[in-house]
Amino acid sequence: MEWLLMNKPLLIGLHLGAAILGIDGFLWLLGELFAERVHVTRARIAGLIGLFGFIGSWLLGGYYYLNYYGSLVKPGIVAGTAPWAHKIAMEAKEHIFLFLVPMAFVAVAFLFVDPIMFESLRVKKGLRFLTATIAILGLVIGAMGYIISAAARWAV
Amino acid sequence: MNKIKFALSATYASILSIVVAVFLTITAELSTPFKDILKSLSGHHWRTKSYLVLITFILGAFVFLILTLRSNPSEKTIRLATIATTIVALLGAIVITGFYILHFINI
Repeated sequence: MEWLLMNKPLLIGLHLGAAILGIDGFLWLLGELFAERVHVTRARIAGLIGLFGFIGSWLLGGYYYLNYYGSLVKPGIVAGTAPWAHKIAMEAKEHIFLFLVPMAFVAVAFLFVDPIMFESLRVKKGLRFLTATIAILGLVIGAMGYIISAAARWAV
Repeated sequence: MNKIKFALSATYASILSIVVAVFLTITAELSTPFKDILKSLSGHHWRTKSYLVLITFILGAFVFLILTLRSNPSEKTIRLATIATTIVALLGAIVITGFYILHFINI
């Protein structure tokens, strides 16, 4: 475990991988929610993959951010030619990310409602908006991560 | 019925936790003493914010569940709650990004 936590490229790679899993899980769930009659087991699997992907990304990215980013990466970006990459993209990314796990939990919680009740309540439309927003916010956060990474490599 | 009430409680709690996240983010940027308090609680302001958002979500879901168990939420309430979570999250993301853009260009 210590080896993993000390291995910065692997840590950031796993953070990204878990986030992709989270986004893909919710994109899959979004597709499932467009079915006339939702396949509950598949939807639950997709939602759980998404939820645990985001939880994993939060833990891995959080560890990297708290232990390495502030001391090793941030000073170079702030002193470089694109300080906005930290001051806008990173600041927005790290705080908007805090929304994702509660939102993902809500989407998954609805999937565990009795299937007959789920269909009769007609919450699918609201859940589609929620699921799409989770995936879109995840993608936007991913794009911000790319900007930060590019700034750390090329704008110092 | 209890599972739908649990999901509804989580929905209300997620709205509350997003509002808390936005409040903590902006207040900490505008008030150094407040940011220092956040730092002193866990060693890093972002770690404290993460804990506070999680605590708000878990405790909020518990409190809202107690309140929801006593009521009979309508289909419309449930549908509107999911849409409200989406709108609050989008507004929260816009507010945070907009705040940091304005902060960066010193407006």
